[in-house]
Amino acid sequence: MGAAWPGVSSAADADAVKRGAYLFNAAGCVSCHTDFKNGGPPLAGGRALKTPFGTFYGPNITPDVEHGIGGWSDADFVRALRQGVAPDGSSYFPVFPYTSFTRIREQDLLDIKAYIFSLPPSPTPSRPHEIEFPFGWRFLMGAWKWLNFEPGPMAAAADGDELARGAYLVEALAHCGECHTPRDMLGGSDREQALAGATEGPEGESVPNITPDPETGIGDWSVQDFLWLLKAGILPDGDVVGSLMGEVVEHSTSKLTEADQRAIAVYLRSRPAVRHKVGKRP
Amino acid sequence: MRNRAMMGLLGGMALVLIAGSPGAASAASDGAAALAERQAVMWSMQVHFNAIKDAIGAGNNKAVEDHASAINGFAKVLVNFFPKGSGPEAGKSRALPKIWEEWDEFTKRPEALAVESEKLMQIAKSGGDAKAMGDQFGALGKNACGTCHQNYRAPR
Repeated sequence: MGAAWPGVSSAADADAVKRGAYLFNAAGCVSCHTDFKNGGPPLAGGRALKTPFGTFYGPNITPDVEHGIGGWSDADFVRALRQGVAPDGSSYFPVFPYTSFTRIREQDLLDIKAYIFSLPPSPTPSRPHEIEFPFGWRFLMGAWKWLNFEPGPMAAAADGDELARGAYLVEALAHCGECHTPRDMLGGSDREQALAGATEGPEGESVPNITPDPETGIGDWSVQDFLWLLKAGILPDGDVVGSLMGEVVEHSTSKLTEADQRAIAVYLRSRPAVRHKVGKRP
Repeated sequence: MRNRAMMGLLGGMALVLIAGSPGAASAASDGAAALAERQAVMWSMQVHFNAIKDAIGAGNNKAVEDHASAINGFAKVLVNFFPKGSGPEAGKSRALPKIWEEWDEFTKRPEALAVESEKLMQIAKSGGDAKAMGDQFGALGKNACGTCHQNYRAPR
């Protein structure tokens, strides 16, 4: 049994695992790393994500030594999420949202690792990405990072600072901007239009503007409107979200405490309004 | 045998009733009309959803129960509003072809809507508080509407 459970021997204390489970949900890891559609094992990878840069498959992140991340040290894990660099030194494609995860504080990263390492390993090989020319050249990622990536964690927030907690959830853990901020031709986030929505998001979906602009964004949403969405996927017009936000609600935001859901609402409502009408796809 | 004959008779009557209703009759002959009708009933569900939100906020259990009951009734007829030919081929629709490709699977889906809306009716009826009603309303949105929209509706 020892060999099958590689990481758990390293005294992953129960509290860290528990905290890690919550953070893991907040970060929505399971959505991309589990192939729900085909009944794949949890976190064993395989979910396809279509983007303008190619189709990416979330890799196996179970603690399997050969196919997963079972052989990773704490430093390997922190470097992957903070710098977007794999243990072998290669760079990840930014479809893995390390550009947001870099802001996660170190203890939280280690708690997430402790939780992942408490789960069963799965010997499922990761599926290679199908990337559009020329984006497949990993060595170009260095230049891309120089242009588009600011590494480093967010400062610790005081207890009860709702705005700071919301910022940490939105900007780091829940990585909302990875879909809700438009990207330029090279896939870098357009910071001036942060959270202002994207016509062509993942899976070809148009992604709404979630800045508080009253006409093109969520300016007329109450905190309660946010709570219904984040808890249950219910929109202010009574519709219920499907597609990618449906997955986010199911696997991530519905599992947060109400205090955290509220913090997300408070933070999003506090941000500068950006007027940006997201086109509807035909 | 008698039971079977009875079932057949009832089934036949039900078919006549359905065929006689505006939903299915025009559906068979006119995909676009069926699509418009489906969008109208789906819209009415949104209206019931918003009414429940307000009623939970106001602590009006009776209204929560009544609107949940309307949704519960809808669960029984929902699939009738998806006749073949009423998908994107009939007009602007986000309904995925998968609905008709795996019809048997699809027609099981309203069960969750029936179960979750029934639970909400019971909680409201038995004097549940805003928290209890809100949690169940959330389950209704997420487990019934949400899972179906995730699987069978194209993104906006």
